[in-house]
Amino acid sequence: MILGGILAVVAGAFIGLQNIFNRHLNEYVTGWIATTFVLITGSIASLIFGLIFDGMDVFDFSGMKVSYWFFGLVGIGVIYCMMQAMKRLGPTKAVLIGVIAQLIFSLIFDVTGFLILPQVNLKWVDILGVVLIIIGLLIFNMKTKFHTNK
Amino acid sequence: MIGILMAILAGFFISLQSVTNAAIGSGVSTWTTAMITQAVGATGALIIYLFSKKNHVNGFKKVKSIYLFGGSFGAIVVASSVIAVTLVGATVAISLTLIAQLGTVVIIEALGVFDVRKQPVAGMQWIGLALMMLGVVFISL
Repeated sequence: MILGGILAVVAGAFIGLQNIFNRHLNEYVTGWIATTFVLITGSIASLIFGLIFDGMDVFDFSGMKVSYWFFGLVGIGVIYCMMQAMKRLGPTKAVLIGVIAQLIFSLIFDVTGFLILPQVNLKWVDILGVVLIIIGLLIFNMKTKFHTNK
Repeated sequence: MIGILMAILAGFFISLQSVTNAAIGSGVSTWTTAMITQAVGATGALIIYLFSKKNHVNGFKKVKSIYLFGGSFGAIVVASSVIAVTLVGATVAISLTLIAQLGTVVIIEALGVFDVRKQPVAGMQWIGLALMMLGVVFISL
Protein backbone atom coordinates (compact mmCIF):
# COMPACT_ATOMS: atom_id res chain seq x y z
CA MET A 1 0.00 0.00 0.00
CA ILE A 2 2.70 2.47 1.08
CA LEU A 3 5.04 1.51 -1.77
CA GLY A 4 2.20 1.89 -4.28
CA GLY A 5 1.41 5.35 -2.89
CA ILE A 6 5.04 6.43 -3.00
CA LEU A 7 5.45 5.24 -6.59
CA ALA A 8 2.27 7.05 -7.64
CA VAL A 9 3.78 10.23 -6.17
CA VAL A 10 7.07 9.56 -7.98
CA ALA A 11 5.17 9.13 -11.27
CA GLY A 12 3.32 12.41 -10.71
CA ALA A 13 6.48 14.31 -9.81
CA PHE A 14 8.14 13.17 -13.01
CA ILE A 15 5.05 14.01 -15.09
CA GLY A 16 5.16 17.52 -13.61
CA LEU A 17 8.87 17.82 -14.42
CA GLN A 18 8.32 16.37 -17.87
CA ASN A 19 5.56 18.91 -18.58
CA ILE A 20 7.91 21.77 -17.74
CA PHE A 21 10.68 20.33 -19.92
CA ASN A 22 8.29 19.64 -22.80
CA ARG A 23 6.92 23.17 -22.57
CA HIS A 24 10.43 24.38 -23.46
CA LEU A 25 10.67 21.78 -26.22
CA ASN A 26 7.32 22.95 -27.60
CA GLU A 27 8.61 26.50 -27.95
CA TYR A 28 10.53 25.24 -30.97
CA VAL A 29 9.13 21.80 -31.81
CA THR A 30 5.41 21.05 -31.74
CA GLY A 31 2.84 18.59 -32.97
CA TRP A 32 3.27 14.92 -33.74
CA ILE A 33 7.01 15.11 -34.36
CA ALA A 34 7.45 16.43 -30.80
CA THR A 35 5.23 13.59 -29.52
CA THR A 36 7.25 11.05 -31.52
CA PHE A 37 10.49 12.42 -30.09
CA VAL A 38 9.23 12.44 -26.49
CA LEU A 39 7.99 8.84 -26.74
CA ILE A 40 11.09 7.51 -28.51
CA THR A 41 13.39 9.02 -25.87
CA GLY A 42 11.11 7.58 -23.17
CA SER A 43 11.34 4.16 -24.77
CA ILE A 44 15.13 4.34 -25.08
CA ALA A 45 15.45 5.42 -21.43
CA SER A 46 13.25 2.45 -20.44
CA LEU A 47 15.50 0.13 -22.47
CA ILE A 48 18.58 1.49 -20.67
CA PHE A 49 16.99 1.08 -17.21
CA GLY A 50 15.78 -2.39 -18.25
CA LEU A 51 19.26 -3.47 -19.33
CA ILE A 52 20.70 -2.20 -16.04
CA PHE A 53 18.12 -3.80 -13.75
CA ASP A 54 16.84 -6.84 -15.71
CA GLY A 55 19.76 -7.52 -18.07
CA MET A 56 18.74 -9.25 -21.28
CA ASP A 57 15.38 -10.16 -19.72
CA VAL A 58 14.21 -6.75 -20.89
CA PHE A 59 13.76 -8.42 -24.29
CA ASP A 60 11.66 -11.23 -22.83
CA PHE A 61 8.33 -10.62 -24.58
CA SER A 62 6.93 -14.11 -23.87
CA GLY A 63 4.29 -12.70 -21.48
CA MET A 64 2.95 -10.32 -24.13
CA LYS A 65 -0.53 -11.11 -25.42
CA VAL A 66 -1.27 -9.94 -28.96
CA SER A 67 -3.67 -7.24 -27.71
CA TYR A 68 -0.98 -5.85 -25.40
CA TRP A 69 1.05 -4.64 -28.38
CA PHE A 70 -1.76 -2.30 -29.41
CA PHE A 71 -2.33 -0.83 -25.95
CA GLY A 72 0.53 1.59 -26.58
CA LEU A 73 -1.73 3.34 -29.10
CA VAL A 74 -4.07 4.47 -26.31
CA GLY A 75 -1.54 7.23 -25.67
CA ILE A 76 -2.14 8.50 -29.19
CA GLY A 77 -5.85 8.78 -28.37
CA VAL A 78 -4.94 10.84 -25.29
CA ILE A 79 -2.82 13.27 -27.27
CA TYR A 80 -5.18 13.59 -30.22
CA CYS A 81 -8.26 14.23 -28.05
CA MET A 82 -6.39 16.66 -25.80
CA MET A 83 -5.10 18.62 -28.80
CA GLN A 84 -8.64 18.86 -30.20
CA ALA A 85 -10.11 19.82 -26.82
CA MET A 86 -7.47 22.49 -26.22
CA LYS A 87 -8.05 23.97 -29.65
CA ARG A 88 -11.77 24.34 -28.89
CA LEU A 89 -11.81 25.11 -25.16
CA GLY A 90 -8.36 26.49 -24.41
CA PRO A 91 -5.82 24.60 -22.28
CA THR A 92 -7.18 25.45 -18.83
CA LYS A 93 -10.71 24.22 -19.38
CA ALA A 94 -9.66 21.25 -21.49
CA VAL A 95 -7.23 19.96 -18.88
CA LEU A 96 -9.65 20.55 -16.03
CA ILE A 97 -12.45 18.59 -17.73
CA GLY A 98 -9.95 15.91 -18.76
CA VAL A 99 -8.71 15.46 -15.21
CA ILE A 100 -12.23 15.23 -13.77
CA ALA A 101 -13.10 12.58 -16.39
CA GLN A 102 -9.87 10.78 -15.56
CA LEU A 103 -10.83 10.52 -11.87
CA ILE A 104 -14.37 9.34 -12.59
CA PHE A 105 -13.25 6.71 -15.10
CA SER A 106 -10.52 5.42 -12.78
CA LEU A 107 -13.20 4.84 -10.14
CA ILE A 108 -15.36 3.05 -12.73
CA PHE A 109 -12.39 0.83 -13.68
CA ASP A 110 -11.77 -0.09 -10.01
CA VAL A 111 -15.44 -0.82 -9.36
CA THR A 112 -15.78 -2.98 -12.48
CA GLY A 113 -12.44 -4.75 -11.88
CA PHE A 114 -11.38 -3.81 -15.40
CA LEU A 115 -8.56 -5.96 -16.92
CA ILE A 116 -6.17 -6.92 -14.11
CA LEU A 117 -7.67 -4.66 -11.43
CA PRO A 118 -9.12 -6.39 -8.39
CA GLN A 119 -12.83 -5.60 -8.32
CA VAL A 120 -13.67 -3.31 -5.40
CA ASN A 121 -17.12 -2.47 -4.08
CA LEU A 122 -18.13 1.14 -4.50
CA LYS A 123 -18.36 2.85 -1.12
CA TRP A 124 -19.81 6.25 -0.30
CA VAL A 125 -16.41 7.42 0.95
CA ASP A 126 -14.97 6.73 -2.52
CA ILE A 127 -17.50 9.06 -4.15
CA LEU A 128 -16.96 11.60 -1.38
CA GLY A 129 -13.20 11.32 -1.95
CA VAL A 130 -13.48 11.91 -5.69
CA VAL A 131 -15.84 14.86 -5.12
CA LEU A 132 -13.34 16.36 -2.64
CA ILE A 133 -10.52 15.97 -5.16
CA ILE A 134 -12.59 17.71 -7.83
CA ILE A 135 -13.47 20.58 -5.46
CA GLY A 136 -9.78 20.78 -4.52
CA LEU A 137 -8.88 20.96 -8.19
CA LEU A 138 -11.36 23.76 -8.84
CA ILE A 139 -10.02 25.74 -5.87
CA PHE A 140 -6.43 25.07 -6.95
CA ASN A 141 -7.34 26.32 -10.38
CA MET A 142 -8.95 29.55 -9.18
CA LYS A 143 -5.62 31.30 -8.73
CA THR A 144 -3.39 30.24 -11.59
CA LYS A 145 -3.27 28.57 -14.90
CA PHE A 146 -3.26 24.83 -14.94
CA HIS A 147 -0.30 22.90 -16.23
CA THR A 148 -1.00 19.27 -16.73
CA ASN A 149 -1.26 17.07 -19.72
CA LYS A 150 0.52 13.99 -20.83
CA MET B 1 -19.65 20.56 -27.27
CA ILE B 2 -17.16 18.56 -29.34
CA GLY B 3 -14.42 20.22 -27.28
CA ILE B 4 -15.95 19.00 -24.02
CA LEU B 5 -16.46 15.53 -25.48
CA MET B 6 -12.84 15.45 -26.63
CA ALA B 7 -11.60 16.53 -23.17
CA ILE B 8 -13.70 13.80 -21.51
CA LEU B 9 -12.41 11.25 -24.01
CA ALA B 10 -8.83 12.35 -23.32
CA GLY B 11 -9.40 11.81 -19.60
CA PHE B 12 -10.92 8.42 -20.33
CA PHE B 13 -7.90 7.40 -22.41
CA ILE B 14 -5.45 8.55 -19.72
CA SER B 15 -7.15 6.37 -17.12
CA LEU B 16 -7.47 3.52 -19.60
CA GLN B 17 -3.76 3.79 -20.34
CA SER B 18 -2.85 3.42 -16.64
CA VAL B 19 -4.84 0.18 -16.49
CA THR B 20 -3.66 -1.22 -19.84
CA ASN B 21 -0.05 -0.48 -18.86
CA ALA B 22 -0.60 -2.29 -15.56
CA ALA B 23 -2.08 -5.23 -17.51
CA ILE B 24 1.01 -5.40 -19.74
CA GLY B 25 3.15 -5.17 -16.59
CA SER B 26 1.47 -8.33 -15.29
CA GLY B 27 2.84 -10.20 -18.32
CA VAL B 28 6.31 -8.73 -18.82
CA SER B 29 8.78 -6.78 -16.66
CA THR B 30 8.07 -3.18 -15.66
CA TRP B 31 10.87 -1.71 -17.80
CA THR B 32 9.84 -3.84 -20.75
CA THR B 33 6.31 -2.45 -20.35
CA ALA B 34 7.61 1.11 -20.37
CA MET B 35 9.83 0.38 -23.37
CA ILE B 36 7.14 -1.31 -25.48
CA THR B 37 4.22 1.04 -24.77
CA GLN B 38 6.28 4.12 -25.58
CA ALA B 39 7.85 2.53 -28.68
CA VAL B 40 4.39 1.61 -29.99
CA GLY B 41 3.09 5.08 -29.16
CA ALA B 42 6.06 6.67 -30.92
CA THR B 43 5.43 4.55 -34.00
CA GLY B 44 1.79 5.64 -34.07
CA ALA B 45 2.76 9.30 -33.62
CA LEU B 46 5.39 9.04 -36.36
CA ILE B 47 2.88 7.55 -38.80
CA ILE B 48 0.43 10.39 -38.10
CA TYR B 49 3.27 12.89 -38.47
CA LEU B 50 4.23 11.48 -41.87
CA PHE B 51 0.66 11.99 -43.06
CA SER B 52 0.25 15.46 -41.58
CA LYS B 53 1.48 18.92 -42.41
CA LYS B 54 5.14 19.20 -41.48
CA ASN B 55 6.54 22.18 -39.67
CA HIS B 56 9.00 23.12 -36.95
CA VAL B 57 11.24 20.12 -37.66
CA ASN B 58 14.39 22.22 -37.60
CA GLY B 59 13.53 23.54 -34.15
CA PHE B 60 15.34 20.77 -32.27
CA LYS B 61 18.68 22.59 -32.52
CA LYS B 62 17.23 25.65 -30.84
CA VAL B 63 16.01 23.75 -27.76
CA LYS B 64 18.33 24.00 -24.76
CA SER B 65 19.83 20.49 -24.63
CA ILE B 66 18.68 19.70 -21.07
CA TYR B 67 15.04 20.09 -22.17
CA LEU B 68 15.45 17.32 -24.73
CA PHE B 69 15.51 14.91 -21.78
CA GLY B 70 11.88 15.47 -20.76
CA GLY B 71 10.78 12.46 -22.74
CA SER B 72 13.20 10.14 -20.98
CA PHE B 73 11.34 10.78 -17.71
CA GLY B 74 8.58 8.76 -19.32
CA ALA B 75 10.52 5.62 -18.38
CA ILE B 76 10.16 6.35 -14.67
CA VAL B 77 6.59 7.62 -15.11
CA VAL B 78 5.33 4.45 -16.82
CA ALA B 79 7.33 2.06 -14.62
CA SER B 80 6.21 3.71 -11.35
CA SER B 81 2.63 3.97 -12.51
CA VAL B 82 2.46 0.29 -13.52
CA ILE B 83 3.52 -0.82 -10.03
CA ALA B 84 1.39 1.81 -8.28
CA VAL B 85 -1.82 0.87 -10.13
CA THR B 86 -1.17 -2.82 -9.47
CA LEU B 87 -0.64 -2.21 -5.75
CA VAL B 88 -3.25 0.41 -4.84
CA GLY B 89 -5.74 0.35 -7.73
CA ALA B 90 -6.52 2.96 -10.37
CA THR B 91 -8.36 5.63 -8.37
CA VAL B 92 -5.82 6.06 -5.56
CA ALA B 93 -2.84 5.79 -7.92
CA ILE B 94 -4.24 8.30 -10.40
CA SER B 95 -5.34 10.74 -7.67
CA LEU B 96 -1.94 10.69 -5.97
CA THR B 97 -0.18 11.04 -9.32
CA LEU B 98 -2.29 14.08 -10.11
CA ILE B 99 -1.62 15.75 -6.75
CA ALA B 100 2.12 15.09 -7.01
CA GLN B 101 2.10 16.48 -10.53
CA LEU B 102 0.41 19.72 -9.49
CA GLY B 103 2.61 19.96 -6.38
CA THR B 104 5.79 19.55 -8.43
CA VAL B 105 4.82 22.29 -10.86
CA VAL B 106 3.90 24.58 -7.94
CA ILE B 107 7.30 23.96 -6.33
CA ILE B 108 9.17 24.54 -9.60
CA GLU B 109 7.27 27.80 -10.09
CA ALA B 110 7.92 28.87 -6.50
CA LEU B 111 11.64 28.25 -6.95
CA GLY B 112 11.67 29.73 -10.45
CA VAL B 113 14.00 26.98 -11.72
CA PHE B 114 14.13 25.39 -15.21
CA ASP B 115 13.55 28.76 -16.92
CA VAL B 116 10.08 29.04 -15.42
CA ARG B 117 8.91 32.48 -14.35
CA LYS B 118 9.12 32.63 -10.55
CA GLN B 119 5.74 32.93 -8.90
CA PRO B 120 4.94 32.40 -5.23
CA VAL B 121 2.53 29.65 -4.20
CA ALA B 122 -0.95 31.10 -3.83
CA GLY B 123 -3.01 30.35 -0.74
CA MET B 124 -5.71 28.87 -2.94
CA GLN B 125 -3.25 26.34 -4.28
CA TRP B 126 -2.40 25.10 -0.77
CA ILE B 127 -6.07 24.78 0.09
CA GLY B 128 -6.78 22.97 -3.18
CA LEU B 129 -3.93 20.49 -2.72
CA ALA B 130 -4.91 19.88 0.93
CA LEU B 131 -8.52 19.13 -0.06
CA MET B 132 -7.32 16.77 -2.76
CA MET B 133 -5.10 14.92 -0.26
CA LEU B 134 -8.09 14.59 2.06
CA GLY B 135 -10.01 13.14 -0.87
CA VAL B 136 -7.32 10.48 -1.42
CA VAL B 137 -7.45 9.58 2.28
CA PHE B 138 -11.21 8.98 1.96
CA ILE B 139 -10.80 6.81 -1.13
CA SER B 140 -8.10 4.68 0.48
CA LEU B 141 -10.30 3.99 3.55
